[in-house]
Amino acid sequence: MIITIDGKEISVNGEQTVLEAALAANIYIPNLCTHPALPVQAGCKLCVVEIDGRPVQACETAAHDGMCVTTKSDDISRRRNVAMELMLAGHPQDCTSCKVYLKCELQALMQYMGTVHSRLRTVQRETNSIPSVKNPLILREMERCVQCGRCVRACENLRGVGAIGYAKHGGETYIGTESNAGLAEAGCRFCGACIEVCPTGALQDEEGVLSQEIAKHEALVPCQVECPAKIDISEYLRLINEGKYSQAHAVVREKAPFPHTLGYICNHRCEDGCKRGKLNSSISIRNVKRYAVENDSDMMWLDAAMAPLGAKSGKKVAVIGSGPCGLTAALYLQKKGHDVTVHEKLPVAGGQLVTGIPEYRLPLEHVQKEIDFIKSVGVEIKTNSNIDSVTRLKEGYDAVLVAIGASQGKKLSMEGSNLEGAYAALDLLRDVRLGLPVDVGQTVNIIGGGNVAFDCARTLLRMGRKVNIICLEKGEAIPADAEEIEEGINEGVVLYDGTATVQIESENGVITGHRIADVDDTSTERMIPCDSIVFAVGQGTGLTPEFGIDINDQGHPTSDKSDHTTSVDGVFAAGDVMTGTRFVIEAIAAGREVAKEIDRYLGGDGCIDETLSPRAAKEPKIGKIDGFAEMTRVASHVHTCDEATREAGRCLQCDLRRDIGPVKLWTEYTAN
Amino acid sequence: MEKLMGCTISEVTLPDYSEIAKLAEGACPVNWALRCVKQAQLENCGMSVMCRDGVTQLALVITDIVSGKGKDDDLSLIKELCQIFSTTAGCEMASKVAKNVLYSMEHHADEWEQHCRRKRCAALVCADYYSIYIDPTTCIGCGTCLRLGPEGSIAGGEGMIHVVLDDGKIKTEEFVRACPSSAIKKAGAVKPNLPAAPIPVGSFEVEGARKRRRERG
Ligand code: SF4
Ligand code: SF4
Ligand code: SF4
Repeated sequence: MIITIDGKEISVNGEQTVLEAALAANIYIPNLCTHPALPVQAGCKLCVVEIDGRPVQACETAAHDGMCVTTKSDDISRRRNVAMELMLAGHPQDCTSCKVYLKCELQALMQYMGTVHSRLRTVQRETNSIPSVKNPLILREMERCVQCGRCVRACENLRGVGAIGYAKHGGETYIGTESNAGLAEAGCRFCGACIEVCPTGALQDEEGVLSQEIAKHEALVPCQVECPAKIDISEYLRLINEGKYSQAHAVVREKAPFPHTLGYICNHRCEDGCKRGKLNSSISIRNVKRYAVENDSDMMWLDAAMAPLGAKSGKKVAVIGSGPCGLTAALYLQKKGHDVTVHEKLPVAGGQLVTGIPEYRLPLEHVQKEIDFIKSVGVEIKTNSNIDSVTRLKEGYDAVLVAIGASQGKKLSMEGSNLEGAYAALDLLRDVRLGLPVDVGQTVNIIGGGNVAFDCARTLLRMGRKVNIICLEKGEAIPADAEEIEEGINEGVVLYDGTATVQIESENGVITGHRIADVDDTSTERMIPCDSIVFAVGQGTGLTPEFGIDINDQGHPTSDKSDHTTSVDGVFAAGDVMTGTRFVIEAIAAGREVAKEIDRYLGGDGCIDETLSPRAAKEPKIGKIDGFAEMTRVASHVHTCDEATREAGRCLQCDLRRDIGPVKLWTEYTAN
Repeated sequence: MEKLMGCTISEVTLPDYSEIAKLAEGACPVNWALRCVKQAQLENCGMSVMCRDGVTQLALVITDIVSGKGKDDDLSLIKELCQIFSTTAGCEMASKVAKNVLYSMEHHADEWEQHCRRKRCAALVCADYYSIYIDPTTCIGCGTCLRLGPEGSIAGGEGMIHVVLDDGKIKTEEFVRACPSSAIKKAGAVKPNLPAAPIPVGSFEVEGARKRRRERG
């Protein structure tokens, strides 16, 4: 089908309107209330064109064969200008004070048409002063609204919510909610579609809701922004809401081979970012993830996850260290076609997952299963294989990854710290975990206030010991997670915060007590009797120059380049060994990054993206849920399918906004 | 293509412009147009720019025209707007109102001119263009207007000729009709000679007549 626009023939599919056809052929016709994601309203009248000498709206006129359209004439200009002037008569004249200044569709249109605030009477709308009930996510500056109705259609037609609509007050029209209630009361689901389509500054994300530092497309989904591994969180929450646990598990697995482990111990940075947290409380993302993994009965992802991501390369890679970073890298390198051997100095694989995290926080069997999967893909793990020189090892491999973590416990250098009953926390945790005998006596004093101190304390409590924690920081400043502290104290840890160690007391080489004092008052010095002292004061890499790569004063590998390379060609390093102690999810993310780099080094394309759960088109119609904004976070762990459905259903589905996409401005059309 | 327009034109009866021909003696065509516009303003669905902002703009400009704030090019502005509204597809309400206004302007161009430029309403309908007075020759001193008018608007007393002090709140047809002796009247640009304060009924006529004779002479 052919139509003629301003003398230019363009071909059109049978469904298109004149406006759609023109825009598709790169011919710009001004328009404001139209939006590609929304039904036509034909309200702004800017897209007026002439067909058969009569003015019609291009947006509501179906194109048909042989149609002859004129988009420019004096009459058309006059009509468009009047429409624009009318809309601007009630719009504030000062654009520069608006937050969307220079990012505004209305402003772009004013530029295109050369409209100035005009000869018309300025309209002072009374409805501008209807007090708007504030909410933490959506900023409404309705004096900037030109009532194009895009938001109304987004809410009503696209989302099926209908929280906002055209309202009348006397002779004035405004966009509002029923009885001018706040959005929450009106049933808003805070999906942000209305903000996304608003062509003016009337609807905006409240300040601080979305990061301004990263690309908008990314920033729209704040949980994913915070997740180091960039897991598609909103997608798996939707799947969990639908009861599709196996698919949800698959989505996590696309970015991290330790979903179950993460379901237990991830420090859930996503939840700190979660937009819903600003509304009432964040989604309990970690706990619903764990529920999904534990209720994944068909492992629909297994075949896809086992499948290689590249042909056999004939290259060999050695990974030193079998922690989350090393094993993640090993998995992806193996899938990329390389032969990977992991060297673990301990008798068990898993690194800190196994030796650093106590059983009560992360049952060993879950980690074991996830490691077994990695092995099943072909990764060889050699335990009891201590590598003390990378130089020698390198001879048999094309690339080596140093992922030994930072697992060397440190002690304070003070008198008594080398006595028999003085331990480094990580050593103690490891020994307990490996079932080795530990001789700590009855009462243990732990120095330090981080998560490791509390892990240690709670492990010892479970072994029937009395535990005191002595840490310098006070109250809120204590570095451990608030949850850890609270649970620890409930279990019986005695916490001396704001307290410094003065001296370790001993008799004949046996620790007898611990002299402490308040940090800000030395006169409070006192003695607590104890049988052993545990230092939870940080950890190091344990690397020495003899290992064969350049290291800095802190024992971290150094390199001229900023990526994961080291001073030796073909030797890479990633994870805690580079960064110092971080969280498991960061180690996994680092494992992925370094795998890409090593693959490229070995001649591959460095692409490890995979889809384990095929994506269906997302349903934009989320519908109305009564009391949605008030739904509270699940109290603790997710125990039932109903709880999982409900908790995942609290998600605002921030990613749906990505499907709406930006509107092309007139400057981007080139054919006229 | 889904269509959303919720135009209510079919449920609203706006006056038809043919009615203007039948406008009773003493009706004002400008005021009539303004009333159409205001009704449309109340009833339109608000979804199209012409109905929503266009009709509002008409109301503002015509209100200025009937209240002494008309500007020189207002008449041509209204005409331009109305010509566009009446030929815009999909804005039924705006289109109908615009036709009414245009019709009124065409058939009563003179009256529109008078309102806009000379600040006059020949029919004495537009409140800013007339004043209310009590004809001292007709007032019988009954006190009806004093009772009806808000505090401060009328002065008078039993057997006295009543006097309008402030007509701001009494410019209604009901008020004009309330006088049993039809002494409440409207004045346009020419203001009649009136007593400044109440005087006994019957005492004005002579005064006034003598005065007028002297002026003429
Ligand atoms: S708030 Fe924005 S999208 Fe909604 S009607 Fe106003 S200008 Fe249009
Ligand atoms: S439900 Fe979505 S589109 Fe509707 S008002 Fe709320 S945020 Fe806007
Ligand atoms: S509401 Fe959902 S999509 Fe949005 S940040 Fe929170 S978890 Fe992510």
